[in-house]
Amino acid sequence: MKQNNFSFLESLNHIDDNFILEASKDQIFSECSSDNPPVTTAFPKFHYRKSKRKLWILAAAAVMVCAGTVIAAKQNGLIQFFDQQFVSQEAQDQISTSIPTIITGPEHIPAAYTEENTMDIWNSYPELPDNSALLTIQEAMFDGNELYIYAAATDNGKNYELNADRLYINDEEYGPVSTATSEEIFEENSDKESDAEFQKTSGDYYFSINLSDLDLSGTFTVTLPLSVYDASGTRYQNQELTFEMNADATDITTLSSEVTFEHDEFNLTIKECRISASTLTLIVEYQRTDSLIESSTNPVMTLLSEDGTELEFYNASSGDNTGEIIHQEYTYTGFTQKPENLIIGTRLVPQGEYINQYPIVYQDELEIK
Amino acid sequence: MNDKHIVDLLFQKNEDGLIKLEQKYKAYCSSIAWNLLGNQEDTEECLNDTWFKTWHLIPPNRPESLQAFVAKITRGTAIDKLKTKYAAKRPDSHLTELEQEVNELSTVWNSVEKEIEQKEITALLNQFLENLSPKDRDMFLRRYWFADTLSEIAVRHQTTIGSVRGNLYRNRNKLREFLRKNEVDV
Repeated sequence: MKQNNFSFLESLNHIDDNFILEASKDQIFSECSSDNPPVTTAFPKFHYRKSKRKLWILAAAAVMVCAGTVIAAKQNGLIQFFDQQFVSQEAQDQISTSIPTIITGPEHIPAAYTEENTMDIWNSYPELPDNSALLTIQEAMFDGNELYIYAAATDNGKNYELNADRLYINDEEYGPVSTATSEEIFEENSDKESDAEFQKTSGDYYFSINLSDLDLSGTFTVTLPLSVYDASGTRYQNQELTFEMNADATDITTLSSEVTFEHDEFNLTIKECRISASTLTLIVEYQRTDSLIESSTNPVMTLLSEDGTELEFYNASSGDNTGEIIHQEYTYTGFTQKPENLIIGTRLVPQGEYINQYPIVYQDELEIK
Repeated sequence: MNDKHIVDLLFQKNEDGLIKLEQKYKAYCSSIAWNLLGNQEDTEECLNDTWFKTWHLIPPNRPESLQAFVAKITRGTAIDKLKTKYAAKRPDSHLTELEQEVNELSTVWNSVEKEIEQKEITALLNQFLENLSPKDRDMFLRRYWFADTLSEIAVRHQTTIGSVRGNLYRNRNKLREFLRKNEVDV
């Protein structure tokens, strides 16, 4: 790093003390999780569930109905999004198009704003000057594990930066939602990262969330609350888009039975393995010896292809490391076709260390039915 | 012991103040230094410099927040060490990803610094941070002030690394747009 590349970091050193103190707190102010305890393990918590909160009802709900367009040959969309990660034909076949969407909010207030002193902040956000739809839902796919949504900004929506960090399934809140623009997907998959940084967004948004712990069947309702910022950073009240999906076409394969890894320093059980058209979800529980606990070392799962190539788990949940048994969830997105067997390995990794520098200490092949 | 008493002791040039300061803020300052420097030896050296500088800065200063005061000294000292260490070479792997983000921001910032004084830059930064939502501000500062990893921020906000990366990307662009709106030529 050249010396002058520290100039931005240096400038930040002079900011107001209150910002430093605010960011030094253990408890954080998060729209998603204000009343959840802070997580202390090495991995992000992947999803959580909260009871629904209905504090006020919008008088005029369904403002407009807009049908997504059928897209047979377009440049952007879920197929292109999947191509960045996997090309399963089964996943592509499950994409729904022409999705009628209605504007139903701002009906849901994020939990973080429902305290007395923050309710004022929420209420201070101005209404959108034009409450016509900001996005049209072009495509969506739920494969039993993961819900993907591809949406295009309307002319109104192109004036704003949109984000969603949670959504509602049948009016119950789930999160976090990953939001990405086309440019961000490009950025993550390109070597020319810095060149892509300053491009204006094309108005295409991709949202995804893992819902593998939900037992959805038949038709279910999705409500996507969009937080809205203009170019100057001014925030407006959320706009909520609601549409229906169907879970009947999902095809999930699972592990034949629980599998236990017995190692000198840990016992690890794979409780569940769900493979959908797009995603593998692995739920594990483990117990460690005292020496591993003292050194804050955890077994970390890795996925291997038949030729021994390591496949990177997309994410892992935090679990809870305060008890004897630690529960974790891993997800992987990248199969070109559903595997019949899975080769799973385990490393022992001290907290905060780079995973790949530690050797695999246990390996087994799992049979999938 | 509360911060006021520690500052009082330091004002009296009582070495107990220094001992209490280290007892209270060693872990906090260590994490700031460690995130930037990435090794024990440099971190310990940075902390020793921090206590030494604090001893010489109080008095005449009487900080309203001792925590922020020592945090700024630690971070400033750590950045000075980084500048010396990496003046002519690439940084170690712990800073590789942050480097890419800082490179882009620093290119913008170098042009800002030529135009306006540090005082004005700080005022703009404070205004920008004030306008961010608490969640965005926390992610921004945890990344660019405390040099937390994306993974650590994802854990803190119970979200995914991709979501953190996207959030930071949007707010870096927002900062650039904010400067442009304030007629700073970037």
